[in-house]
Amino acid sequence: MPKNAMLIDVSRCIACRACQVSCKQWNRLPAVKSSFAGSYENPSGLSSATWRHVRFRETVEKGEVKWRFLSFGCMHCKDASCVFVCPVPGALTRRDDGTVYLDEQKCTGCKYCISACPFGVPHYDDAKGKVYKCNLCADRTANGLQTACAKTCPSEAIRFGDRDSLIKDAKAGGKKIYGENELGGLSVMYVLQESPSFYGLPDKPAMPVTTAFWKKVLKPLGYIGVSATVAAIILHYIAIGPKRYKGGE
Amino acid sequence: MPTIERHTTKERGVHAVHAISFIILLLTGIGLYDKSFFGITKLFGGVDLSRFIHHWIGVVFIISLFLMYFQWKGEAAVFDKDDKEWLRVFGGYLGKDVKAPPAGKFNAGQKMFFKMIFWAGILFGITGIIMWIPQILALPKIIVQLSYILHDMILIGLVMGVLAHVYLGTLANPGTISSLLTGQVDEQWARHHHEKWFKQVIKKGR
Repeated sequence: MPKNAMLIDVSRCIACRACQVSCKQWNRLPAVKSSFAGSYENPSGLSSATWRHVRFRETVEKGEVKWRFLSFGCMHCKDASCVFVCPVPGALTRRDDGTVYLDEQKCTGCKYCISACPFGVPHYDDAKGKVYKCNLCADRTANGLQTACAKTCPSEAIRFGDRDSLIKDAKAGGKKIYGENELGGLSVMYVLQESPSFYGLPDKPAMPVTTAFWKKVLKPLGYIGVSATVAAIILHYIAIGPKRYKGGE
Repeated sequence: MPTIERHTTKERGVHAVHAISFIILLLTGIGLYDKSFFGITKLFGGVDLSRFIHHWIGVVFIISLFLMYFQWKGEAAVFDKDDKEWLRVFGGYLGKDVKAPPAGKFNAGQKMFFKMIFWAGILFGITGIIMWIPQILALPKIIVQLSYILHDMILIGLVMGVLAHVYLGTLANPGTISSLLTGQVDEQWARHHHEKWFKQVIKKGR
């Protein structure tokens, strides 16, 4: 099955934030009241009502201002930590088309995914008691449409399409891709101008060690420990038996 | 057969509330341990109700823990030479004819379990609150991640401990369970299992 993907060439981004707006419009997300924090960046980051957000990075190097933008949202990892830790069957799933889909109806708001995501994407909505994030416009892509943010991007910084051909195109242009192989391959990839950490992206994204220990080591240890206890009890009862006292039955 | 009172109604009540809240917490919480356990949440009317019950029974669990702590901490604080020896021979549980040294109202194993329960319960509560309202506490993500790990570690340790505790209180030691049901135990049982305590009770006069 061909994989849906987005390739975001940040050098083409003009920070118009149309992606932010179209995402809100298509997904019917309310505007969030924000306050000025010394940057054109607004709001300050992703939230349960903001699934796509343009990060602004402004620095001065050798007397010259460097202004960089990163349209950021869920990365739709192949080996998604959120899907791995989600305890609810069907609430967070990695679909065959490359979408990491969060089913609002099934989400119970346990927030495990929030602690597991290496990119800090899922956010909890206190009023609704559920977690929200970008679903790669699954309702659009299922009908042959591209994602709202890609559709609206006026400078073609965000391109939606078949993953393999997006990668091929970028490589033909001699560009280095962030996310081609990270975490098994992300469905949202970047062509960056600076190092990933400059934009606040992990250089080598991975499942947090704590999450891996919790679910890959501790969980099986729990089964072993409890089974061993039960086995020891049965063994004790058979081999040594109950302590009876004189005069007792 | 003559009996003596081992636990007062209040003592048994506190223990029962704590034990029942533990079982409710286990059943309402275990649904999130693994996807294959998720169906257990239906037992309490779905995951939302399970969570609600889990949170507030958690409060009951902690309150009853403190009540239990205060009612038994006196007896549990004693730790003498006999207790040391008791631990050395594992209370005589590892052989058919091993004699365990005389115990007070509680034996060394019960005292250790009591302390374990107390500290585990406190950590259960702290990590539980962190997981309950992380967005309000606004702690660093690593604290929340460590809380998940700690909460599960305590869970595993306590389930193992409680299984042993229940076994020792029922099948392994006939005559023990009545101390929780009626509060009365057979005198001979008391003499056998808690000799020093038995002598104290007799001395005080019934």
